[in-house]
Amino acid sequence: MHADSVRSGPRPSEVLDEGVLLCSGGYDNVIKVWSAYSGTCHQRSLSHTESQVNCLHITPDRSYFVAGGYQCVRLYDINSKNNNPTVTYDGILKNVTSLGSHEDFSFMFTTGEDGSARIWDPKDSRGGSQCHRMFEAKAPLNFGVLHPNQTCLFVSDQQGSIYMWDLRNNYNDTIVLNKESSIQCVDIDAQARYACAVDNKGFMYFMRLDEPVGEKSPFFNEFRTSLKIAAHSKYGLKCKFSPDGQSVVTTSADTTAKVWDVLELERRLDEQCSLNVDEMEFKEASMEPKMVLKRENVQRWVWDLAFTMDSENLFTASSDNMVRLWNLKSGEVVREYTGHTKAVIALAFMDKPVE
Amino acid sequence: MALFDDPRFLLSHIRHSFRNSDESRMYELAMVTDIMHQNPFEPMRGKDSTTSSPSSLLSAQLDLYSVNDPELVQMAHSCDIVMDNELVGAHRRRSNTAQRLDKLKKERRLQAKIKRITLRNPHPTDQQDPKDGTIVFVAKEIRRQPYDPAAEKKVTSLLSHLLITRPLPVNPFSAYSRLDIRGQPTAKRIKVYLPMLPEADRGFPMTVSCDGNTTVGDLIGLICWQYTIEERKPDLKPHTKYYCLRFAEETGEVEDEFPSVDNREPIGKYDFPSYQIQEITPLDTMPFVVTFYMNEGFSKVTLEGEGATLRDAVNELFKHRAGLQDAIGSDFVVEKRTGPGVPLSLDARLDSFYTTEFRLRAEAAPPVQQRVNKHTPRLPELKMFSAGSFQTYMVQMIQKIGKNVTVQLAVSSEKIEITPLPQKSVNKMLWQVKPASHNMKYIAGCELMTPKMILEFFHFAGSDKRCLKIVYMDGESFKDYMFEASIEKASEIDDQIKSILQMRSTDAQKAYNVERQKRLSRKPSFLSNPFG
Repeated sequence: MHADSVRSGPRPSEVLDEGVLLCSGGYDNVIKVWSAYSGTCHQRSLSHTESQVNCLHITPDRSYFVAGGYQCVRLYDINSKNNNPTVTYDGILKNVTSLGSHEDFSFMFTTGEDGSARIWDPKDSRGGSQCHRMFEAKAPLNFGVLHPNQTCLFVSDQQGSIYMWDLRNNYNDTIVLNKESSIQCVDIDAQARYACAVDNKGFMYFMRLDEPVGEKSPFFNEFRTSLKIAAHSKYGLKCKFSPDGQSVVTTSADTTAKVWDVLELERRLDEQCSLNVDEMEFKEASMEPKMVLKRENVQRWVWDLAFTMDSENLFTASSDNMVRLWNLKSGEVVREYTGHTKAVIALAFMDKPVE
Repeated sequence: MALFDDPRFLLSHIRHSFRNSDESRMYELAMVTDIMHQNPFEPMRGKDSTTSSPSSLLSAQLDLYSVNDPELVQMAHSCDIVMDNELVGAHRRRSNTAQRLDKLKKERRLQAKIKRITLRNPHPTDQQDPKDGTIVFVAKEIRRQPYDPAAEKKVTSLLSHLLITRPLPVNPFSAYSRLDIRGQPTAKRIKVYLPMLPEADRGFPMTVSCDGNTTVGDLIGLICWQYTIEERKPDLKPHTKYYCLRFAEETGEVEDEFPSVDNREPIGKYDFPSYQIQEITPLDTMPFVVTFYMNEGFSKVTLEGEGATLRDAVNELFKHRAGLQDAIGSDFVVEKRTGPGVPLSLDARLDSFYTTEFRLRAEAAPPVQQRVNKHTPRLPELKMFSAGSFQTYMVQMIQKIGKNVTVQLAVSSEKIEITPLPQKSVNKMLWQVKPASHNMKYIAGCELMTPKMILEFFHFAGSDKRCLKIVYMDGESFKDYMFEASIEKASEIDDQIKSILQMRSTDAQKAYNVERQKRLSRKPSFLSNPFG
């Protein structure tokens, strides 16, 4: 359709950041693949005409990206000039709220507003695959994240719960954070020590995870005390641990992204911790963030975020049509990626180490 | 002649005649379509071939179309005829139906390329065979290590590395990048020729995609941005004001009869095949005139450069009107003349206000002290000191012909300016006053006329008014202006001008004094000896 969306002029003499991929999408129904280093989008910009882009994910082999929207999940070839998807995943009734994959892309998961989390075989179309699964919750699901052990899926729903779904044996476990609120996002750090979540009231939840001993073992057994921190004045949107596990970033409708120190959270949790509690309890604590990333009167809702692999820089996507790259040491904006014509709500970033 | 018996020859002959005479090429198209449809005739031909009637044209034609004779099939195709649909379409469009069918076919082919994966097993988890997926879902062991800051820094992200080691040059046009909507279906694609490129690349236009509502000025910025991003050389001048957009032919040649495209118009308005961007001398030389109205009168400031802010204009005003800043104080407010009471931001660009008329006033009412001072006799030194400051007065200018006109008289240590106020009168031509500006160097003198003296010249009887004469040097001769104002005002102007003149003695003054002395010395002799 738009074969010439790929630039026709001479290319820059060298592409320094080859292999580093940044995709963004949002309400303008356009997915852009940026050169993260130069801040330009001459690699690809394709229209995702059927719906807005709710979530994006780059496959581990860097050759495809997956976009989730209303009733659709599509897999696109990053390097092709073809603006049509290579694979479409059908059968979802409402919005797809998040998607992700196994680290080798041996399966892919989606969560949806239809209240179900689905496991897909990303390559198999015959339907005979062994890994097609589905999990139904009582409420629409907001987010899903795979535990670093690659077999347990944590999903959060709009009625204040987090579900843990073990794909090996279909065992599932639920914890209720707050019945009155909707848990927007949940994340687990790379070493699976902690989980964090944000809700639509601006609260951040910080929980300690157990080391599961055997099969069907719950994650929240030993430590039943968790922290509940008033992180934002408005709707929380996303939370994510940095790859080094030293900080958590929460983003919110109050136009900020806040960086929290995990060591400090750990210390607070230890203070509050009381053993021999039967039910999960949430202790409210007040804490100041390590850093607040905001652009007064410019930045609007911060919808999504992504870290560079060394946890030094952070991408944010905002309703002011902008993707920003922040330096987490100085708290300054290093790059601005302009080109979207409406709110940017989804980001996917794939970094590469220096050779 | 025997050849005319041969229907094949005849048909071929007719065909060739057409080929030579039919310039519309309709014939070729018809023939191609015919040949394409030969297959459905095959069964009919089989039936017909039994009847050997050579007179039947149909049979002859069908005979001819028999694919058995490769030579004739060869003949049927003119060497000019290309079967490729696109090439045929180049000189004649195919029917709508054919095109639509083709499009459908293309879409179907496209759909076939897209793999579809549907979740075949929509049953909830409990109905699933737990043995399923045991190969796929294998737990990965997680090693929990204590935090070691030294170990953490082993990985460096390529991006972070580049950001530090290779800082990017600043693209002066980055503000325009948001206009780039390549890849969107609504995008208007514009071909732009770039004459600044090296000779070899000049013939290849750059394609820019933007919204139809984008103004030409913004489009120039977008073109410059894309040019810089694509690392084309030579580098552009760092501002869009150095460039303009011209209509161009398909070949890139500029249409000389058209001027450059108006920067304020949306590009969607035009439908030219291509454009060319050209370097121009910026319009900076075009002055930007701003008028500031103050308590008494107004003053005009000329600014250069379109990016000037209101603060630049105010600073320029203070520079020209020495003393105005002291008079008005550091707390002042600038408002639109049409919108009083709304203070404007000094850092906003002048062109963002859509007006060139502003009102300048002190934030608070001027201190009472100052007001009182104005009317109480001041120490002569003080008077001298403040005389150079800029003052404006509204006075009546007395003209030799016609009636008096209200003008603004502005006095400062540098110059005297006379600016007429806009006239309502219809026959303004009669007593139109031209604005004038006189350097203090050429001001020769200033006099308050006594009522008696005035009566000599004019029919003037008002006792509360005074006349003021300002003499200036125009080339070699002296000329004067007559103004009428209240006693207080007239004497204030008189005081001020005299003080300024006193501070600087100029040739004009000297010459005028000499001339006056002469005149005065002549006068008594005239009186004493009127006819001498």
